Order: sequence, then C-alpha cells, then structure tokens
Amino acid sequence: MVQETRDQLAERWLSQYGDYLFRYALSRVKDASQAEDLIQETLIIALQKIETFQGRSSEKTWLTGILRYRILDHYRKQSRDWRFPVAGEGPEGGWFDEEGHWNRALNDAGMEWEPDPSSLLDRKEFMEALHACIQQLPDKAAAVFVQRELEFQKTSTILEVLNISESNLWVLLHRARNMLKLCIQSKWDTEAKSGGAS
Amino acid sequence: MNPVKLLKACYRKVDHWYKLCYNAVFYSCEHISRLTSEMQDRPLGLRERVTHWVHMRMCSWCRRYASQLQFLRRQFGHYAERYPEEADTKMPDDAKSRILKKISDSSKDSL
Repeated sequence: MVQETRDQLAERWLSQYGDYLFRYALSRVKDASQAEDLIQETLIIALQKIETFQGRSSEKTWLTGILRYRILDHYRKQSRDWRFPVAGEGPEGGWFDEEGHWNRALNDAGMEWEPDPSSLLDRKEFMEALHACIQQLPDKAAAVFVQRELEFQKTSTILEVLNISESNLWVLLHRARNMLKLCIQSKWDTEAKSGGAS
Repeated sequence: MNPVKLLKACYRKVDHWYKLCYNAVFYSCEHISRLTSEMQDRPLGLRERVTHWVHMRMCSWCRRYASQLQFLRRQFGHYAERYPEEADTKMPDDAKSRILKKISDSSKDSL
C-alpha cells in the first residue's frame, strides 16, 4: 500500500509539474540529460521529505524550491574542478582599441543595436534566442550567470557556494553579460535582415 | 587662522577634485564598462561612482552600453520567470518513464 502511493505520487507530480520543472531546469543547466538527472533527484528528495510538506505553499512551489537547491548543488559540484585564473578573454577584448576606447570600426559594424522594448518584450522568439545564447556560455560564466541573474542569489552566497574570489566573480559576470549581448545582437541582426516583417 | 595656510588647504581641495575629474575624463571606456557591469552586483565606492558619473555625462558610447546592459538584465528576469511557464519544450516521455522506474526501483530497495 505504501509502495503504491509513493509511486503514484511521483507519477502524479511528473504529469502535473513535470514539464514545468523540466523547463525550469533546462533554462538553468546545459542540456536535457542534466535537467533529467536534477528532476530525478528532486523527486526522490521530495518523496523522502513528504512528511515535512504541510501545504503552506503549493506543491509546485515546494518542488521548485527543492529543484532550485539541486541546481545550486549541481554548480557547487562542478566548481570543484575549476582552475583559475580564467583562461582566454571575453568578447569585450576586441571591442576596445589600444587606449581602451571603443573601437569605432567594430561598433559601426555590429553595435548599432538599440533595443526597442515595445517590439520584443513579449516575443517568444526573443526568449528562445536568449535560451540558445545562455546555453552557449562556457561553464564558469554559465554558473555565475545562472545563480546571479536567473536565481537572483546574493553575490555572497555565490562566492561561498562556488568557492571563487570576488574579482573572479566580477570578471565572469562581466564576461557572461558581454557574451550574451554579442550573441543576442548577432541573432537579432540576422533576424532583422532575413525577415523584419513581424 | 593663517591666510596662507587656508589658501593652501583650499588649493589642495581644489586640486584633489580637479585630479578626480581629470581622471574621470580620461579613464578608458574599457574600465568604465567594467564598472557599469559591476554596478549591478556591488555598490561602487565614492571614487568609482564619481568617475563613472562624469564619464557617462561625456561618452555616448558608454551610455549606450549601459542602457543595453540594463535592457538585457530586465530580459534575464523575464526569461527566468517565463521560460519555465511558457516555452513549448516538454519533458520527453522516455525521460519520465526512466525517472519513474528509478523511483520505484529505489523504493523496492529500501523496503
């Protein structure tokens, strides 16, 4: 009897919240197989802790809370293999001339981008473009970006969990933002040129 | 109150602010762009704030960079909330059955 309810509970959770949780994980880790692992861990932990769920929040919120913690832990584990300083340089390296001023030639080519919020705030394509760009971030940049901009963690928490120095955090965040800016710009340019009739 | 001392003190104050402004003017855009990003994560010191503010008054390129970063930040927030709710992606059925199998296996083990 106990066995039965446990499995049934997991099945109901998966059918009710599975897609949501999957997308939640997928928007914060590299690929579908990582997302799947995280959801499996989440459900197993949720089943163990089901006694503590008192219905103060909705089941969905409760499960999401567990998943968020799994994601944080996922990056904690990943960060153990990190080596510093961060190798290579971000895209911003080529944006400036020797004196550190914006490189006008380059800017004229691709940086004319002035976001027009009214045209894309509600566009699903923009969300998908952003998704594709985020998934292309290198591991370290992705980890700090996800925790800071998508999970809204305090910087002190990120420093502690990922065990990195403050200056590394600033560099990684700056780099992640610049990479995303560049990626979004180029996607937006291509779309504007190919269609633009939206 | 020695007027010479007073004058010197005045001069030092003026000189201090003059240098601050001078540095602000000639700080590289590269440096300012880093500050623009870091402002989103930590409170800047007084010196950094003055530097940044003065540079922003004068440099349209850095102003544009700042507005692009702000725009992106809002989009990140939207994405964080709305992707899980609204994207079309679904969890593949085989993933669901793999998870269910794992769970029922693990509960058999623990019994």
